[in-house]
Amino acid sequence: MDPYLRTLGAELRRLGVPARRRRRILAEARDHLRSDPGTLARFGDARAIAQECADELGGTAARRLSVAAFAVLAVAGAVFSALLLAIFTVVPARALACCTATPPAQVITLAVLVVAPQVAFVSGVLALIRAVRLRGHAPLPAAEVRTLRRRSAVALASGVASMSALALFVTEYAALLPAWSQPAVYAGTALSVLLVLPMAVPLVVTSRIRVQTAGTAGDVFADVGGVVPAPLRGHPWAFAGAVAAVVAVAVLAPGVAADDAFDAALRALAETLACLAGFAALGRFLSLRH
Amino acid sequence: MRSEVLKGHLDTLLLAALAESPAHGYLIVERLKQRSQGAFELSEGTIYPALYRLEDAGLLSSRWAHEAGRRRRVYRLTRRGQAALDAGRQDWRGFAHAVNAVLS
Repeated sequence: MDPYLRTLGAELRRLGVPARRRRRILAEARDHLRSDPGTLARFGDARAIAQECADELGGTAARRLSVAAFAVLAVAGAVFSALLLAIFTVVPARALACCTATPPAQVITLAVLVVAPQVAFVSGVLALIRAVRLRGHAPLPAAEVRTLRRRSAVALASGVASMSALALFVTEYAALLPAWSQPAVYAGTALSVLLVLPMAVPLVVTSRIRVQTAGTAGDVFADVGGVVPAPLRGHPWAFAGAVAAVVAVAVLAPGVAADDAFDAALRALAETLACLAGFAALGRFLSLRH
Repeated sequence: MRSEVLKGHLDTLLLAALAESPAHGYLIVERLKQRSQGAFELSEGTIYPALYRLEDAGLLSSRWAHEAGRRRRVYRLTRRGQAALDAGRQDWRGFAHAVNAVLS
């Protein structure tokens, strides 16, 4: 019995099953094997059982990670949005708009401030949708586990980048912003980072579990296909173009209404390009397209 | 019955084995053998990943218990597990009825 349990323990460790779960599996296996002398022959191959445990655990852990990441980012996102809204209610965006004299560091900060929250939102929502959609499916294919993990990781990293960019933004533009904005943003950033950083633990734990269940991961239409118009389904680039167009209109319309059509058109063009560039860069990584 | 055939129904069988009373892994296997009159060829260790899956899904709960000087993990059906078992029974009856109708 002891050599069997040693093999099982070593396999569970090799497959990245966390220590606590490993101890429980081994305790249950030991109890089972002590129940009658014939159980050792009937218990099954230690490697196969360890792999089944890892497959089950990996899927569950990845789904939980996605839900937890979304919950944490929802709170951080609410703080971020409230701060941004408060700042731009007092200081119009036009007063801070990029100009030729804008130093490169400020351009990068502004770019991150605009792009990162959108990436965090899209990745986080898509991770949550997939986690909910795959509830009750077990074990999950390794490709689906990878997708959940990647989407959650990108969402969390983008969330941290967004809050950091906001903190840099209020530092760089301190002269143009109200006095309360700096302490408020620093406190909000600290709170958000404190919420998001602990998510690194489940992210690392989930990444270590080696799931080997065969199967493929669905693309973006597996998540939102039900609300995508029929002609776009199965055509990821056409879908990305349509999303970029909707975003461009959403950016352009308020600008036109505020008699700021030229700047709004520039912002809409930048948003369109950012959408398409994001889709090109992260599309495969996040299983938006194959 | 071959293990791959059994695997598709393992969750419902485990829930059914726990319907009468809470049990640890070995006892669950014994109940399955007894009720199937030895028809199931199952690697006994494979019930544990399935038990973890059912527990993660909220269909089972478990706790450590001390029985005759041994520390054992005892599984119990939850209310959701009971509902899933009822649904599984109904699905199986419908399926078996349809298969019987075709085969007979």
